[in-house]
Amino acid sequence: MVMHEVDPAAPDGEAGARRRWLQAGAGLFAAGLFGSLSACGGDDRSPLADSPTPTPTGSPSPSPVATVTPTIQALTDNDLLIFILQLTYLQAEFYSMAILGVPLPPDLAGAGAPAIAGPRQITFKTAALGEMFRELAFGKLDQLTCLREMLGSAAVSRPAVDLDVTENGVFTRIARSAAIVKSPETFDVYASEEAFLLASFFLEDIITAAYKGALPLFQKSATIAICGGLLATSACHTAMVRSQLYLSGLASGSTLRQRSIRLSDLRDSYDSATDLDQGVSGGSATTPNNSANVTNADGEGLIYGRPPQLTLNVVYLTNLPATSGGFFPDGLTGTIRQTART
Amino acid sequence: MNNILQWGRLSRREAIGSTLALGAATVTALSCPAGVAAQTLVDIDVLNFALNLSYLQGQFLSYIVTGAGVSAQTGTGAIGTVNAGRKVALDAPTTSMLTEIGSDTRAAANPMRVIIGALAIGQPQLDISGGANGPFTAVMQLAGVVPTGSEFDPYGSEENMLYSVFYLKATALSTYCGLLPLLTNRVVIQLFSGLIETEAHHVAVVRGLLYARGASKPQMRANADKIVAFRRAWSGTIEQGVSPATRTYMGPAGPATVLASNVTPTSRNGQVGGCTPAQALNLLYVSRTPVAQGGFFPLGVNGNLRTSAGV
Repeated sequence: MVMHEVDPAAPDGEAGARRRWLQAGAGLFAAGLFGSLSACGGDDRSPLADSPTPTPTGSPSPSPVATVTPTIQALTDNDLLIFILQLTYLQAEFYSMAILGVPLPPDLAGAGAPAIAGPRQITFKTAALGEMFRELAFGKLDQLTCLREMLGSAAVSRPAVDLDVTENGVFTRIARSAAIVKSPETFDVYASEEAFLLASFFLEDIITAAYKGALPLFQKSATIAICGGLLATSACHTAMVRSQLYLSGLASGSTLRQRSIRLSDLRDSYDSATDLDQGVSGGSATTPNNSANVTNADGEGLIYGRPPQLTLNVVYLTNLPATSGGFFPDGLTGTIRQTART
Repeated sequence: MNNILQWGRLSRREAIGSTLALGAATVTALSCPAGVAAQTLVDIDVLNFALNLSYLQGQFLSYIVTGAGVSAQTGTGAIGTVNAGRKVALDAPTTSMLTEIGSDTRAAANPMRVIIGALAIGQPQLDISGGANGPFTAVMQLAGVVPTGSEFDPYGSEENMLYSVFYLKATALSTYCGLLPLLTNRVVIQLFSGLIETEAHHVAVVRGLLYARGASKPQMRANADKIVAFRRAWSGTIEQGVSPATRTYMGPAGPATVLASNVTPTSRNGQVGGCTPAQALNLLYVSRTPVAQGGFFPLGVNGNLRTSAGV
């Protein structure tokens, strides 16, 4: 359905490559988990410290693949907050420029934040939808303020972000990869409510999944309390976009539901071999049905999550080792900047 | 123990692995100072408290969409029946969204039950009935949605159903947000983060419907605001009403004032507010005074957290 980028360097092809990189992601998460679980014994070493290269189970090709050693990255609460802050910058600029017509004010973007090309202010033909997106825009500004206050002087400025819709702009690349447009067509997400809903949907689920992935890694319960509130807000924003996309997509002849499934599949192609992502209705990308799938949840009713490094794969739009790309042409600032596959 | 590290969908098999890991953590904790050992118990209490809400909402949503309930979950505590509801006449998209919300809600009980293991509570006695003596009538009178002495039928119209689902879903979300920082086990925190996000989706869907319908039927936004005010007063939850608000900012051509919706319950701090389980029980037992039963749970909730705080 969707073209997946294949790692040409992986001798066992895409499936093996994706599997190994999922293991790397799991290893990263392991460090956070066990560090905490064993903390009451006064021993905060990761159990993996005794065997830094765990034998991957179920790997079908023992040779000649380069060994993937899980990167055990010690993450502080601030590292994770800085990571979340930058994802929030991306969304806040997107909505601020497209909905409010202005970029983030300097006191919110931070010193030296590079200018952004691309977004244009949208005029909504549906009044209620415009009101909802304005709520979203202000909601992101509020979240940004909260995160910057938590970080204090440790807050980083917004890095360079790509929100462009021209030939090489991020949204055109996404839409071509998801077979929404064909080259040389571009995908102008600022041209219509429908296109803007799809672009918002693409970003919203990424950030909500990122919150779920980051939350268990925080150490301080005070941080968890605040970030839990921010996480719930992000999930509300996501549901607002997904429900509007679902309802708009029920109109006769609408391609919105189908396109949401294609965009979901594209996000999914960057992170792992596991299906962690769904469109806004049931059925397939070929034949979506009318049943609602507003909640991007697994079979046990829980929203999907991605650990930080796999989130980077999605925002950089790559299943390869990378420290920049996609929405962040110069990468993220801070400790968490490298995709899961190393 | 690698199986608890699998990311994403917590399959039943993986969740069982988590149960074993939780058991191991408990054993480790026993050798720790007593204060630390007690924290493992808190995680189980929190999950069991959440199960009460999951059972209540799961049955309610099942009646709304199908006109029938689901089998009561077994487990510890007194297993009860349901003082039943009935089917609501809804259009197809609303039926589909409510069906999804119900199945998410019921499905989310499973990983919690698996992680808790043998201590998982069963379904307590539930009251989701309409009628003059039903809990929804009591709530909606207190909130001022209907006058004192008037009956409120949660199944009588889409509008009344939305108020009722909103009341319970908002209560679940603020309760879970309040409970999250009490958790210590990382697997439970991961699960609970997903649960909060799911509940937040449901709240936003219902608030979105109230907001959208309220554009042509202003009492829907006004009544939703009354329900929020009641929830704030009785649970201390910081929460926004549904009616739109004006926001002022520096726009492209100078200061601009625009209208923004309130689909998200979030206040200006960017966060959804939380409440304690005892405060949530004020809303669920529908009692101003501290009690251990009443309202939606005529014989009380199951588990260790069962007394309301009082208002």
